[in-house]
Amino acid sequence: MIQENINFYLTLNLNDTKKELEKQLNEYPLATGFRMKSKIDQLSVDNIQITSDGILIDMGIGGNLGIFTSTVQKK
Amino acid sequence: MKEQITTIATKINKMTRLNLFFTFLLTVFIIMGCSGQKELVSPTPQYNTALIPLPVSKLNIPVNLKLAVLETIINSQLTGLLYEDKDFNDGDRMKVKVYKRNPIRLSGKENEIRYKIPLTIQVIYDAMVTNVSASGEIELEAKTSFKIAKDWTLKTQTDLTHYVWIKKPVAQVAGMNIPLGSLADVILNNSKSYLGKQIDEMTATYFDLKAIVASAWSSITRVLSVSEEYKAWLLVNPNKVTMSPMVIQGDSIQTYLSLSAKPQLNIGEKPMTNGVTKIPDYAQVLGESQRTILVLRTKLPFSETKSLTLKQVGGQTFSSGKKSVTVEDVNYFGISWLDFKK
Repeated sequence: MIQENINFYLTLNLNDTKKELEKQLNEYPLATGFRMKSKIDQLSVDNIQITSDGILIDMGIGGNLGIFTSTVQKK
Repeated sequence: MKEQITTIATKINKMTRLNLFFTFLLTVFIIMGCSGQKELVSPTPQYNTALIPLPVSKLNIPVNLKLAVLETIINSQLTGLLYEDKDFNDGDRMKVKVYKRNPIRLSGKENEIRYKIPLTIQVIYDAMVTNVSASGEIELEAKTSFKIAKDWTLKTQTDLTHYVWIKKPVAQVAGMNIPLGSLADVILNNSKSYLGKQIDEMTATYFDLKAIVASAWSSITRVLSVSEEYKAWLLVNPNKVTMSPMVIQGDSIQTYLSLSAKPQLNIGEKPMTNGVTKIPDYAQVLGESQRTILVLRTKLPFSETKSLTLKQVGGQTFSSGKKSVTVEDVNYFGISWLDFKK
């Protein structure tokens, strides 16, 4: 029961990170007339290390990013 | 208490590595509310001091610029009167007005953008005794080649390569048709550099690559807030950016931006940036993968794991049969990491 309450942290962090990364990257206004699109399709924990002051977790993230031209704004 | 720990330990074998990790950490609980039990003796902390190096991540970003967008920009900017020669006395004895007749059409191949520019030309010729006027229609062909300077400035060079008279200008003098086409050719040669320069200036204004790269670089060198609740901060830590040559494929200008970085996710206090603010010089690379693969190192301090855990289970009582424990405090430390990894 205690374990179930704790396990959510990592899951939440991974999901939060994936969502937030996609959110920040998707439609990110790079410059006038340009936008970015992202799709993250791979999320994994590659390594976990415990140090004297905390935990290091290496997450592998894979996906595709792209920069496209969007609507033209007349100057 | 021992039974509970044994139960948890039994479950460990059936769990994934991640679940195992957190379950393992739970065994370091200092549980104060377990009546009738001896105080749990914490094992000696053990740490693997040799950190696994963080591999360099590669963000490969295909860039796709639709020629249709560039075409729209050019057509919205180049309208009406494009060129005017108001002076009879500049060596050609003509005044000329050049208008855009129809929308400019773009196409491209390899590293050149090609244009077809339909124009109407109005000519007034100083025939000494009188002035004669005529108008004609012409289609110009131009091409733009581009290269990127070290400071990410996109340099374009537009040249008029060819033109075809659709209707040569013919003046009527005393009922006679006098063709002015050959004289207008002279004017066209003079206006070549002017029109090319116009297109180059427009391209520089609307496709300011340096500004785009600077904006993107500024964004990714900042500390980004990922989660306010968990006080999570993302540092991308980029150190290199390269770009493949721009080529035209189909209806688009295509290139690949590639970014090398060592991203970190910090939980807790907002970290400092690594201080790299200057955009690295443009470096050209050939052929890049379209896929982005990055390894994100998350730093989770024990102070935060403690705080997060207490928020979740602090003060709660867990029962098993007649026994119960209440979580009053939690401390994290590491132990036997190598064994755990097995």
